[in-house]
Amino acid sequence: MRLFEYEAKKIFSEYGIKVPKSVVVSNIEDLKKVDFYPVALKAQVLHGSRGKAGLIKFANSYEEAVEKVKELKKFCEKILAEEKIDIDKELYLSVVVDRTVGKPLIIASSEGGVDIEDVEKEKIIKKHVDVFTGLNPYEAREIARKICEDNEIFKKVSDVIYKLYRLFREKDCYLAEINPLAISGSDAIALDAKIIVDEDAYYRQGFEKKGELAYVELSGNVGCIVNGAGLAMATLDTLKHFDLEPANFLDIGGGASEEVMKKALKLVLSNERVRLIFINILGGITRCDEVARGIVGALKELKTEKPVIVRLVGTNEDEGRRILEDAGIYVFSDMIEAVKKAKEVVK
Amino acid sequence: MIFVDKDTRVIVQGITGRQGRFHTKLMLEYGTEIVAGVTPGKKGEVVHGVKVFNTVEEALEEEDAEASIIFVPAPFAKDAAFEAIEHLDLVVIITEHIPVHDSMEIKEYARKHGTRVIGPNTPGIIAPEITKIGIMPEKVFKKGFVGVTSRSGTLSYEIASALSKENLGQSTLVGIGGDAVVGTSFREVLEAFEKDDETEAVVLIGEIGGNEEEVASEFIKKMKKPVVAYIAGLNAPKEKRMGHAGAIIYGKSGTAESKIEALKNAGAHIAKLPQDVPKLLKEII
Repeated sequence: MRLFEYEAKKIFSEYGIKVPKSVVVSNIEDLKKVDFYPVALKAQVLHGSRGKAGLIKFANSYEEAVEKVKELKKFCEKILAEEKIDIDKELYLSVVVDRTVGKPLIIASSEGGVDIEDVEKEKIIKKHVDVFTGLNPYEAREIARKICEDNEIFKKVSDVIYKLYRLFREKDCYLAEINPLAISGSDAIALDAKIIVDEDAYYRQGFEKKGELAYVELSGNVGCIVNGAGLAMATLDTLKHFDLEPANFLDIGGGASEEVMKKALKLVLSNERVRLIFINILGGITRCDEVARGIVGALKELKTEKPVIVRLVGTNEDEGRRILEDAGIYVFSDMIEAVKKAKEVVK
Repeated sequence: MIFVDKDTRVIVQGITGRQGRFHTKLMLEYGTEIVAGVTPGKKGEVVHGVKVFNTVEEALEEEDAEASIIFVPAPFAKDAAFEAIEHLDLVVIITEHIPVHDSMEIKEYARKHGTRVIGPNTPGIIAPEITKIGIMPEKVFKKGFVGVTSRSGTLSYEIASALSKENLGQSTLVGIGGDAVVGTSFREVLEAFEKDDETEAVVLIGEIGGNEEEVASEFIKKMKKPVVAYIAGLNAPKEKRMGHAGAIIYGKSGTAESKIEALKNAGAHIAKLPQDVPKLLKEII
């Protein structure tokens, strides 16, 4: 779960990482709290390269700020109004979960303000950290001395690295990134902030748990309900292979009870583009007759007119098929045959 | 077969929970040597004939065991894994939704103790018709000479079932798990299959996110045994978690294209659809 810049900067402040003076603007009223001009007005959206997209604007006066905020409000709920900083140099710092070795990885560079993927390899410093011993202050200094020279700045940057690592661990981050870390006089200031928090740590980080269904909306018209993430991705790929356009990704997990099926159908049908529902269930330990009853029960309650195609295999498959066929639902045990039928129906 | 054999003795951690109880029964029916269960505070109970102890150490005072399977809920799974890692050689973590920082600690703890961890978020490991330390439906598997490894549960059942129908039985299936950080990598599984006398060919079922498949490709270059690979998620959008915690593309990293490219360059045969895997395999062996 990616946090907004203003949320991430709040966490930075709590950890003593310096950020520009700012006001979060939800409506024009809030602009009255801004007593620092010129001001940078930054749209709070979750995708990168806001500069290029015109989502960061500058204003020299209250009047100008009002105009600019009105324009930015078309794209987002909140705008971060920030004191403009004079930048001498921009650095890059991040801590990330290195999936390959399963360790925290610190990445630093003297070339900040650009995408780290575009920086030359020789200018990137990388250091793995032992999760049990953590990052020692001397290790932070060893990284800092490679990306800055001035003694005062070296001390500040070392401190930021140390604090960023602590925050990364304590807040269950996948990624904590400062890009750029602005050097301004003898100060090191986090101009941007990107934090991705691990959704699985919701129970100890105090944020709300999302629903148990993993749903991602896509642009097509075939609504998909599948048990298992890998199979769900493979189902999308198979539909695409046969020139069908999936409307969503939806993994309902291992079981497929009537309750879960109802929730899944509701979710898929909430997308108006959906013309056909494609259900792919590989009943392993879950019994097919139970899955079939769940589908029929859920469809009856939701009263949808849209065609439904089910691919169902597993224990008690024949019984499951009979229940679905009796309810007038297309049912197949072969995935490719089911997809071909879907194609016929959508055309 | 790899990592297990018919004599591997198993402790079930979290045996008194709904899932633990249910799968203990299925594993026993399959022939798995389950010697003890552990649930703190439930010593003295018996689950499907298996004695329950308060700690792994206590279970080991009465029974010998090499392996553990963990059904403990996510908030307590790290502790249960540490306990198993200290005392045993193989730890299979079924639990889903373990925070990634806990998984990093589990992996580090296992490294320090020289213990093999499989998972988290895995269906486990099965040597068809011999033993299973996992939750997979045994019906789709058949004994044979194909080694299978996957990041996904149901997709691996789909492909195993297709293989079995074509009489391409399996030596072992190892689910490495769908999380971003897992105990055992594809590369380590491939290394074991390459050495295994009963395995003649390998099927790798990968998906978007991370670079497990790219790292495995480096080893595939050196392998004598043929590898067929299928990668799910060609049509997955960026920065969206596709069900599995590990199935997410960031920037240019973790795309299906990059994985297919790496595997192809390493000499693996790429199946376009899951159903193509048996056909491809038959062509090359």
